[in-house]
Amino acid sequence: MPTVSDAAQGGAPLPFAEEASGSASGAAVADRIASSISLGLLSVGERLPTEIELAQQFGVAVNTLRKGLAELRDREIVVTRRGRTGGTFIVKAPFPSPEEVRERLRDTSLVDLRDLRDEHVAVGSAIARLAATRVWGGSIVRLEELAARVSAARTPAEAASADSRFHIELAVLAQSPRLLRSEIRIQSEIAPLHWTFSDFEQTQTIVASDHHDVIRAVMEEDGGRASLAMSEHLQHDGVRMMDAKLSIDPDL
Amino acid sequence: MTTHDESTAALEPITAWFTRAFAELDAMNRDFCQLLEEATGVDDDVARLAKAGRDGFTERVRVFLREHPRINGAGLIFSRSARGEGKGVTEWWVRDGADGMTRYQFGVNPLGQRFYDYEKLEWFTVSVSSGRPWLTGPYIDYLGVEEYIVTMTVRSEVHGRAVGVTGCDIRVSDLERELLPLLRLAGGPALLLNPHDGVLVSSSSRFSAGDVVHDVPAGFRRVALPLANPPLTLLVSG
Repeated sequence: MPTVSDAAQGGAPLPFAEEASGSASGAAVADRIASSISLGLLSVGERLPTEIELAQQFGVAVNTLRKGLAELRDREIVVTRRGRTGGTFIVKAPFPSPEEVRERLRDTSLVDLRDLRDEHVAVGSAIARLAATRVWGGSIVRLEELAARVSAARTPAEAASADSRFHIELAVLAQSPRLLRSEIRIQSEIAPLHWTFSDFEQTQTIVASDHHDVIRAVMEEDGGRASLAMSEHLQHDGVRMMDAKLSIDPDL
Repeated sequence: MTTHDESTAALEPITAWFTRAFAELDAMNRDFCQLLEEATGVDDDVARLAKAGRDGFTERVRVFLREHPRINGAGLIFSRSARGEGKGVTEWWVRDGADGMTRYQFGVNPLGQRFYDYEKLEWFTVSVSSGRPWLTGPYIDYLGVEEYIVTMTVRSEVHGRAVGVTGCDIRVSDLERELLPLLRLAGGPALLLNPHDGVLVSSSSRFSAGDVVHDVPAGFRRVALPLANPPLTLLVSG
């Protein structure tokens, strides 16, 4: 599967680049890049090639390309960072429509969903353990505020975004930049899959109670319990994700 | 006052490092504030202050970053809640390439998903509310400069009111490069702790940057750095 880094290194065209050629506008360029992300051809966390390389790949003027990137920045899908580790990075996958989620669940085997859950359990429970040993100051208050946003959400998309933000904040508290990057990538993949087709209110209740258990253990600086609570929480997410697949695909 | 003999050979050089770092940060802060006092009036809001100061700040930060090759970024972050003055105002530069630097834009829109809600963060709140020079971290500056850093801050006052903080960031790996050689003068395993007992730098493989060490481990003793603020301590063996 082509990724941006391959494209940047090997000079291969970006997925969908050709379709945007000709008289493409900035908005068309933005849409192509956004759909590449929705379809998983580009992942959250990846750095886009330089503006000049991108403009060449899309066959548009650098100015047009810049308009496209500006639109993606406005939609908070990419950010451009300055400094020694700078560049334009994908920070969010556009939230997929129910139809897109249905398709993704249909195309992904149960064992692959299980593997996604397994990776999340490994990363998430390590993050919870480290957060419990490294938490300081008023950072727990922030975590509680973010947990409350999941309960206050009115739609699955809003709840999924708040849920992801909670997990990312915990990874920030764990102080491992590598684990943070892994968590951000996994969240963009997994959150729509377990929120979109589950019973909304029931999911909100379970997630709120799970988050509460994690927060309590982190607050008490009990790494073992935090890790266990997170592991159980992510198993619940995994069950919902697999149930969603089984319920939309009765022919299996 | 702790005498030299009772402490450790690492105490004096580490204290001197922080004394110098805060003195130079304070000198930059005084230059920023003087510039703002001259260029603005008592009733100007922070957005006006930031605009009036930008060119002067740019040159001053350029000098600061040139003189301190391991500092990652520096600038003045304004308090938007002072007089309820709307969205965030940040004047911040980060190192870019060999000797370049570039102004950093943060997410200042409170409704955006990537809003950098800095007025709730420790590096902002402590110095701006108490006036104490402060050290925050190590922490991952998520939605900020997105690096694993330590931030040093002092309060900026203009026309008699607190308008924000002047600060500088150093990456945790660069702080280690600066301080590990000094810490090793202790002659045995030693840790430097932040105000929350979090490890800044350690010369013991049992403890790493970020770990919180509330209780003095067996075989270690606690030696406070003779700085009024921020309160930093050493844990040294023996």
